[in-house]
Amino acid sequence: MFSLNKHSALRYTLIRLRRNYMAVAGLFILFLLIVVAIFAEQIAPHGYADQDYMMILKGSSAQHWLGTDQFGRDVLSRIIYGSRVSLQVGLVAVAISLVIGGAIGAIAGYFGGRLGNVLMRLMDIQLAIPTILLAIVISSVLGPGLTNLMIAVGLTSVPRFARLMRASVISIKDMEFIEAARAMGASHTRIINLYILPNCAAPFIVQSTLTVANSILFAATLSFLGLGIQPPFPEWGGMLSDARAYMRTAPYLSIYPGIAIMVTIIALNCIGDGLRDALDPKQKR
Amino acid sequence: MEKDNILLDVQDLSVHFNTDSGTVYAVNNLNLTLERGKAIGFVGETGAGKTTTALAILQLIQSPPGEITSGKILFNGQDIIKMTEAEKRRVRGGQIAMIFQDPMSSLNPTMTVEDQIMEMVLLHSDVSKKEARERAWEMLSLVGIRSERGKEYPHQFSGGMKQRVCIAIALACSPSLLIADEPTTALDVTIQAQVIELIKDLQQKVNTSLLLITHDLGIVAEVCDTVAIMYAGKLVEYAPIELLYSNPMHPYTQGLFKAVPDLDSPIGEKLMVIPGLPPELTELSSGCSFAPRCEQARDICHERACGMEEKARGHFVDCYLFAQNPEPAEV
Amino acid sequence: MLKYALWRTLQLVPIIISVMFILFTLLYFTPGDPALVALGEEASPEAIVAFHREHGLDQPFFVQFGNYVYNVVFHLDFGYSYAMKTPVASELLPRVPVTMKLAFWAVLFSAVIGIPLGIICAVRQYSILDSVATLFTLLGISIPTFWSGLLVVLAFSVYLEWLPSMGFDTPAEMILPIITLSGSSLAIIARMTRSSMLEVIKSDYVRTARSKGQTEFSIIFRHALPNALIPVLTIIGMQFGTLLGGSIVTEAVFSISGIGRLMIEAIKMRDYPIIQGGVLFISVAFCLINLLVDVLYAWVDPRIRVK
Repeated sequence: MFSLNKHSALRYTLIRLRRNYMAVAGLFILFLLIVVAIFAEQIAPHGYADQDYMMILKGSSAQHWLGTDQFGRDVLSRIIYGSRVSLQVGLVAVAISLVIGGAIGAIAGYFGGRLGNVLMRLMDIQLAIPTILLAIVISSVLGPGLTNLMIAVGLTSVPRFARLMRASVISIKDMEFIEAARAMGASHTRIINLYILPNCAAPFIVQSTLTVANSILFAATLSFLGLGIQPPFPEWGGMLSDARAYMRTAPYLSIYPGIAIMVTIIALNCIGDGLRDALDPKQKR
Repeated sequence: MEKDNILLDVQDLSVHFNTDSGTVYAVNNLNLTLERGKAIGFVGETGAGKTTTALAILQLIQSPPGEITSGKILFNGQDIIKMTEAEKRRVRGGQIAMIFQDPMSSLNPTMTVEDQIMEMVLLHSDVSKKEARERAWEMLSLVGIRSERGKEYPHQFSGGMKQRVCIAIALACSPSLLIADEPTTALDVTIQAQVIELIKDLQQKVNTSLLLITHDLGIVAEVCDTVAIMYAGKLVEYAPIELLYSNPMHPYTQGLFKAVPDLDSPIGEKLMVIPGLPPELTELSSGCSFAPRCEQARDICHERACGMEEKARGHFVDCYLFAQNPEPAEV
Repeated sequence: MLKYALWRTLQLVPIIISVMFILFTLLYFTPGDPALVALGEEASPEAIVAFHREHGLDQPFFVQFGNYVYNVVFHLDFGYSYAMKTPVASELLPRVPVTMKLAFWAVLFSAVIGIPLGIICAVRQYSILDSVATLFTLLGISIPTFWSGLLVVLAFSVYLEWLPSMGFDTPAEMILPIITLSGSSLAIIARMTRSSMLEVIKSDYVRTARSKGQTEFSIIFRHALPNALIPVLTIIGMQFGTLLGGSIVTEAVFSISGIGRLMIEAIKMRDYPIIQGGVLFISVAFCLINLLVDVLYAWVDPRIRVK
């Protein structure tokens, strides 16, 4: 599946993806975002905690393109550094849920029976709690901080991946090439890793992209509510929470960080939609 | 053939589909006539253009990406293509009805069976709901289903019975023409026979003309009066069944007959196949579309298609192989 | 049908108890002694011990859990808030109607606008309307609720001064929060309706209906829609749950005294019993709504109802 010969699935998918302008635009934005996050120190005009007492709550100026906040900190720089937090949370949270959820789903699907049922029941129980509330509970139990935020958000997406993996495994498990592998004497681990997982890739890629978007949204929401990232570290959601007190005097504080969130999520959603269309063999146009 | 007797007259019909990967020439310059009360079999492989022709007759081709690029479809003397949308809707179901290949998905899962038959009746006749319901029950009995089952939903019926329901719907308004698109392909062999019997029976009872699309030569022999063989979007042979079955002329038709296993042939003998594959319909060649696979092809076959010519009385073939019949056909 | 409903209700019981268990366990093992929260950091050891005994905190884990379940189920007693010095129930229960109202209206709004929008987009696929609506739904799922709330307050309260920015009692006060909260679920419902309709319109039985000579209008409303809406129903149920969770943020932005705002205060004060009670309540409500939707789905789809 990962070969690049003329008619391989990967090449075909890439061609179809390239035709989708929104997805390409999304990829471009994501790329920019990654660059900004990595090179924040070089790009940002000021530090994220640098306070300028002369310029509290001033609008756009030559020195501060997007204005300053209530501590005289440069909004643009804080947004730039905030991208680092958002991307970190997005990627790590998805990694956590992918690995844990994938493992649970693979085991439940492959071995089935009692074990499978119990595992899926556990997932059902987790799904009984609305995800944002679960994130809030885990977050308040773990305490503030970036790592705890990543764990909390990551754990909430586990059931989604578990279900997806289980469904994929079940659909592949009974196919004949698996039987052939078993007849060859392949161990369970080998079968799962070499045969089953590569064939489940497509829906996972789509779900992962959308989960990154979701995780970033969750992280912003948790920070908005006072959990997660603590000051003075900049996080887009947290910045919006602070902005509420200054809606009349400095309305721009409520706008710019939100735009950053919105653009990021739109880009990710476009990529996810594009991937979904490109990977779906039934789609035309 | 008297002019009055001709129910359906398809003249020079071409249907093309404009897709991302190019134009698909699904049907090319098709000519077909059907007399009242008669049955014509429409034979060919999957993808030959049979269903497209049927959908074109009912004006059900999705308009992007498909379009009818030439021809007329005369039904009772009137060109269907030129009708208004309202007139077309009156024709559909009321005068030309169709049953489709897959009965499993052709019925609305959330409507009762009698409601679906009633819908047909109410669309084309001015009757009360009660009368429509009674007509629905009549139709159900006609196709061999107890009318009490009218209140049930499609998923409660087997495949064969679902197809009977579709037949009941199609014949509810006594249409002059019934188009059956591979009605038995999706069914078990034992049920196939029953459904074909039913169609034959009802066709005679209701005096409907029948256009039967199939790839099964056996069914055609049982039910039809004339046969049209289609290949790659074109008609290649057209004849009354006695003539066709006794003397298939076009090499493709001959190949089809040879491919049918013979109970008398010795065990272990290989099945005959027509070598090669049907052409991609995205290129229109000026030559005969069967030429690449034809053992008897000559140079001229690859350059210029012959065109349908009457090689024997009532027997039309699109092939250079046969001499013209010196006797002109009686008109 | 009734049997199915009862069976599903019965299945709910172990799930709810498990949820209670998870929440209870999570908060049980959170660092911090409730006695210190209630009595202050300077409390004497004797006072702490007395406090523990008084509130049953010296019992073994499972006894405490058993008591908790018993109290919740039979007395609607969700425990005691050490920070606020009142039973959780007395803080929680009065706020329930407000949050339920908010979520209910938001779902209604999302469905009433979202479904027709989805239908129109499906029927007029690739038109300008479809493209614009697709763009809007993309925005709907990409804009965080708390931000849209802020923007909406900025626009309609601060600048235009048309609508109030706080509270939830008068209709005028209710407009902005409902619109804010329904943003993302409206988008999701519209998208789902659109894709479901598109799939159904391509189905064989719609083709059969056309071959009967049925009008486009009837095809859409009598054949396509009833079939297309069935999966949308499930989505609406799920959305209710998301909205119950999302109401937290909306209540924060609009200063509405519902469960959400209570939770936010509780988070700030690390008042775990309130967090536990609030999350439990909303989870149970969510489960019940999903149950209702499942039963409704089974009733609406003849393939399940008539077996």
